[in-house]
Amino acid sequence: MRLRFLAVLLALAMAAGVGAQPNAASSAKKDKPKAAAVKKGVRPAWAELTAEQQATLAPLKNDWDTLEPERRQKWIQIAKRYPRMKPLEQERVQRRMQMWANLSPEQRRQARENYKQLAKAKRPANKDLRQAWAEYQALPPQERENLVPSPSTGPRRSKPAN
Amino acid sequence: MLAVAAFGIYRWQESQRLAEVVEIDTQLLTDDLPIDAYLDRGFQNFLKKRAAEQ
Repeated sequence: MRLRFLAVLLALAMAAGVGAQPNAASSAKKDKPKAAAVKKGVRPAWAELTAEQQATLAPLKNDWDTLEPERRQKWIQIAKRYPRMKPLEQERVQRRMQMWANLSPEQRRQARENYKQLAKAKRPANKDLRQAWAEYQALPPQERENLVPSPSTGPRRSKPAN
Repeated sequence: MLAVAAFGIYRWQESQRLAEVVEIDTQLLTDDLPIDAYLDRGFQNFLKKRAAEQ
């Protein structure tokens, strides 16, 4: 009897775990793009945010009602960290917030994945990274195109829109 | 009892996942490199080749 109880508990926990996996399929379901319709009754509504949260998240005001609950919670958590950021970081957050929110779930997943990969592979110094980005952007378009892995050799993911 | 335990585990896993997303999104939003750099697979390849050459 006790064994059966434990087996059922384990099965339920595993089922919950599968549901919580951050794979593309589940995040795509939960993390709808900006084009998603207004989500009625989802909280917190924009009006329920504090004045401070509204000021920090102002670039998202027009899109707030289309965000899934989980994404609203994420932005609230980021807003909590905002006062502790350096002025330059705050300025970047303000500038990038809307662009980030407007990316498709697949693009956000890809950016996170690339960020993690770079961190894993002994991330170069910020100065070197900035320089590398400048050099890369200065390459002729054809040369840059040649650096994009072909679908047969690269990861099986769609090329994001720029 | 069983349902409460399973729900508790589920909620904990969800909160862990949210914390991870908040952490990495904060880093991406404040990073020295623009978000475009992390969306550009050509640039990711460029960095790999550069690192291999050094």
